[in-house]
Amino acid sequence: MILNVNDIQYFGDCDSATIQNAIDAAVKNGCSQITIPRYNARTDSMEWRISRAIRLPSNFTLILDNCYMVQETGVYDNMFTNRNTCEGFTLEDEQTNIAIIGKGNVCLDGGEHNHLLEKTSGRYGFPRVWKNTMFFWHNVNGLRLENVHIENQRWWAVTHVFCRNVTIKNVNFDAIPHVPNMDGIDLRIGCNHFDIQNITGRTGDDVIAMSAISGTEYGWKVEGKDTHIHDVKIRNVLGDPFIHLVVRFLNHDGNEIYNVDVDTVMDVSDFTTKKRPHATIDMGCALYSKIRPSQLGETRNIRVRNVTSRGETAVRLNHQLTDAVFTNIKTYGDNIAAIGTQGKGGYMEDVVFEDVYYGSVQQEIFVSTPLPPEKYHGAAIALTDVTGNITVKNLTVDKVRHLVKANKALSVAIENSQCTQCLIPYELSGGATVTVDGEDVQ
Amino acid sequence: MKELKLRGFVTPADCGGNVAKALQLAKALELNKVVLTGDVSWAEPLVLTSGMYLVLENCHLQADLVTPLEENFSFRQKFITIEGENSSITGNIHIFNTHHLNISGLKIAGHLTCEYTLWGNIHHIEFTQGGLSLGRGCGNFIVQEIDSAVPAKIDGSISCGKVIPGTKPDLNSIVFCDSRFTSTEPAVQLGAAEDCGIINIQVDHITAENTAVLVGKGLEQSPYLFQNLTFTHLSTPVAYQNPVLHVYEK
Repeated sequence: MILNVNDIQYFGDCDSATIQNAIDAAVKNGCSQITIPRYNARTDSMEWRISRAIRLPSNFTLILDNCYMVQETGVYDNMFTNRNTCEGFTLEDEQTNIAIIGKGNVCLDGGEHNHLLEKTSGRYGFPRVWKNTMFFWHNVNGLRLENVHIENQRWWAVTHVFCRNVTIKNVNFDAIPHVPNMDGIDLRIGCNHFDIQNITGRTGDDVIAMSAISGTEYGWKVEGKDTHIHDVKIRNVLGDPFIHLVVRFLNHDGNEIYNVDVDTVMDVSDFTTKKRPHATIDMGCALYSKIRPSQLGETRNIRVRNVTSRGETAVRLNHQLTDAVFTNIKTYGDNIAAIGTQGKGGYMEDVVFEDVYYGSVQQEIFVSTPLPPEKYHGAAIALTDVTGNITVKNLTVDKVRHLVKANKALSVAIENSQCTQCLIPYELSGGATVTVDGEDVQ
Repeated sequence: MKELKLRGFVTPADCGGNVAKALQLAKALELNKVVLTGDVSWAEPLVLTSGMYLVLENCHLQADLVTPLEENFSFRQKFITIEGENSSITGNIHIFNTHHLNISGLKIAGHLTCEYTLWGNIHHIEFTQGGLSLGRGCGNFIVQEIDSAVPAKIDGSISCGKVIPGTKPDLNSIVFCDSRFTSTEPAVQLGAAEDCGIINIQVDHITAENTAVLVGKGLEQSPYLFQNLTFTHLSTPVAYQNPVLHVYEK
């Protein structure tokens, strides 16, 4: 049985009601799929205006066929969510097998912004900001989102809390960052077994953020599920995160992040502009802890390969990290560091970099005049206020002020390095040490 | 017309078998979707414009597909999708000055050439002749699951002669992965031009008969034209005929 959302019997008082009526009728009739076409017969238009969230049942596939859906002006609700979102807090309430599959040129538009921001969340008569995420998934096992273009999200675009076995593929973003926090994909507490592939485009904030921290979502804990983020695979991300991060790891308050494999991340921000992302891969942060900061071992078994960065820093190490391997990290444009930090302290253990390339153009910004060597800036490794140990194998550096800059008890072991045109190779203090092929320097 | 809108797509049969008119009608109705089935041939190039979704279902199309050759930002095409299921195209596809291109699920006997195209996703394509060519001004592409009897080219000398003023012609940020080549020629061929670099290109998980990747053509060129290349999980070696500023090969 195929249900037609344009059948007059499903028409409601708005497009959301029409779609929801069709979904509910499908479920009632044992049909597990409906299609939203391009043409909207109720309004005789080529758009679907979403004024309240479309709530999806279990074992259901929504096909978006070449359609344009836009969030209605002046409303505060998600575009899509699962039926039990923030209402089911047990494993029995967990929903299963929900898919949204795009065909053709599917555009999901956040439309005109509604002034609901993190700073206005729950204040001045506004609801919580969670109402502004375009997709809001909570307590779902088996989720697919494929082949959609998302633009002008009002806040985070695709948000997951306590979700597992999730596939996200071929999603493109285009956000003009006119409001804060226009993330692409967010994994919050309790998310595991994610396969994220082919994510492209411009977001107004982090492209993919894995954030296991306490927040509103602590009130949506699911009995029997852990609060960690783990077993995540991310592959082929070509993203421009405005001034923010392409892939972010953040955990505190006893929540862990582990078993994450990231393969191929390209920062595609426009290198002819002064604006550039803070980092392409960002590990941890000293901020955002409400109960207690994360401890060593709580972010572990992280593998990251093939990173291309024109951000301030290619890989930023903050707070704590253990058992992590970063392979083929390279910079282009005008970076501050290949391996850097926020400078708010951190402890690293068993953190290994393999094949790192720092190549700065060393030019005056906006003009192509090369800088004289005495004005070279940047460092291949700049780890202010970081302690512990890192190993860097096969480090290639071209035109840089510092090879290694550190001011705390950090041991940097470099194996096999090639450096040309370095002004001051080592600037070390506070007990920082560097060995190159086993030999101490300075 | 209402019936067509409710159906959601246009076919050539709706226009007396005229494929070009079907595309125009789909545009006029704002459906922007044309479905082709069976054997379809058209002598003139079929013009794809913004928002067009061309679907081939059990179809063999003999025609060239093109976007307008407009050298102006104002005429940039956006969101063009060509999708096939058990279908093939005999003819050339030329995409110019386009953002957001998706092509998938087709057997192609002809050239698929892109110029000044950003945000491309080309996957699950079989080439029997011609092959994929990414030319000047292309960037932010993911090319995946290509089965090809002919080489693929990522080359700054590929140009129809038209330019987009104010746009850098460099080929930048392209991932080419999970593909198989049966040609004895180098599978993926990277070529720069004097004013067009090859920057941030990754080729990975490629099976090839002889050389997996050929870098350069042996011409006298600045090493800065080839920058930041990554080659991993290739069945056969990479051959270098020009210097590269930085390459990672494992």
